[in-house]
Amino acid sequence: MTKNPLRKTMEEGKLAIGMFHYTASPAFVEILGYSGFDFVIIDTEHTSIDLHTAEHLIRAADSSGVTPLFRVYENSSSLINKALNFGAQGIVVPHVNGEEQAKLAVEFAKYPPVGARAACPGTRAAAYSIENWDDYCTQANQETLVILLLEGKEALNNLDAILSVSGVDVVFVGPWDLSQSLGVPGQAYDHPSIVKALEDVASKASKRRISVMTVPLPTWTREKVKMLQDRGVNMICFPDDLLVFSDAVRKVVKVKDLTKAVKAN
Amino acid sequence: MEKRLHKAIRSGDVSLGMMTFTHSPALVEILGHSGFDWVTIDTEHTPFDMESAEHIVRAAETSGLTPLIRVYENNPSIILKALDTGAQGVIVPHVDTEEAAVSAVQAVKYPPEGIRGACPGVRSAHYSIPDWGTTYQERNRETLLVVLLEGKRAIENLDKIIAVKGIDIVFVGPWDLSQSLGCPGSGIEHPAVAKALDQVVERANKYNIAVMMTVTPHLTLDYALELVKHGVSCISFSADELLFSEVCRELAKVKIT
Repeated sequence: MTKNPLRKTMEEGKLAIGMFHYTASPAFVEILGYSGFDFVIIDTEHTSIDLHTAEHLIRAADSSGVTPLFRVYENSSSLINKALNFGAQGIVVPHVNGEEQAKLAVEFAKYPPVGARAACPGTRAAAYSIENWDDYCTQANQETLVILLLEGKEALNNLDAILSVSGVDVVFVGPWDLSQSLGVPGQAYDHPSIVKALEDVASKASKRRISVMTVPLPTWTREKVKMLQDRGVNMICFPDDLLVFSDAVRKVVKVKDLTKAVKAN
Repeated sequence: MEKRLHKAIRSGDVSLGMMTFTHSPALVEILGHSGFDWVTIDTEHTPFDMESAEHIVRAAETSGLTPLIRVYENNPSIILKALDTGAQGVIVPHVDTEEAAVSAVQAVKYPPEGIRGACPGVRSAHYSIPDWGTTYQERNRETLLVVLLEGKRAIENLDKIIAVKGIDIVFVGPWDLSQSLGCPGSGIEHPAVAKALDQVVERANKYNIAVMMTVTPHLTLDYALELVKHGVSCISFSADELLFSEVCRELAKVKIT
């Protein structure tokens, strides 16, 4: 486990940007690194990416200087341990609705005495080495980011209790699921109730020095993205690479109509 | 199966495609669902080979795209493997001479027209023996051969190359061509590249052969329109990795306050 540059960016109060990774293309991960992105979230919740592939993707992130985070598909001890063993610098846990789930996530991500993460030195994260195990454990516990997705009404009701759990580094407001849960499906930040929820989370989180992450739409302008920053967001995670690519491609297809006009002339 | 590229070149319509360097089936399906006509599955500049390409051929078919495979050399056994996946055509790089063009045509056609190895137990034949008689004739008729003209020599030998029977599309490759013409990295804004393109279009029109070209190095709609004005009818909108890279560099500007 090396130093986590993303944690440094957060501590310095700078904006960090990232993207969800759905394609399983190592090249797409590297493009994020080369373009100046701070983090990539390798997703196993909504994709067919398995752990073996994820390890290749984590290497691609390391080699291009973008911090690899890993979204697990459930709040599971063995899954979180594996993701971290492969070298992910943080875990993103979906659908955290209460204090108990938040505590478990921290416990699964940290070695004893802080948590209950299973210990093994023969892993990529430990540089496959028994030497300096103590230092490694201490550093891993310090550097590994625990990121909780708050994406339901229940999470908002239990917000204070969730934020009070020691070891939570980032709360991630998931506007898509949240809209579904608050009865305004598909509206995300176009609906005032979702913006209000984000503001509540951000104001409470900042008091506890917990970072706030959320997702803009791929079509948003830079000014609109800044609206999120103005509301206390310090980590912007762009939607998954498939959506971003799809948006770009739909703009390109307009060339076909334009060529018809050229030919008509 | 849809034949978007076949229909376009036969009716003289402009068609749109992209190269996949990632071999991500999802990205290919996005192209198909968005209204692209074809995808070029690259094996020349990527670490992927035919096993991966076959998965991508399937992704192309399920989303309505015509799948082409760019082989990594003008070699009959490699072209055979590419076509056996069910790809609707091959793009053959660095065709610089008449002999190279003849060899490529021979490789894509079953006897008596060519030398393509015959086997019914492959995906392109739907793994079926009884239909072989119609299968091989249909494949000889419908398989598209795209030859890449990407060097000074190819332009010098243009008349002979283009006269070879069996070429469906000529692909002007500006990256290698500009390197070879002494103006590396240029598109048609450089007179030498524009002149080469115009020569190719003029000869290709005579033989009823379509002209394909990539928008690289300018991934813009305006540049694509410029190519069409020069007579390009198959626009290859660069590669998935290059497009994504452009978009990411744009998104990252949000960090500049």
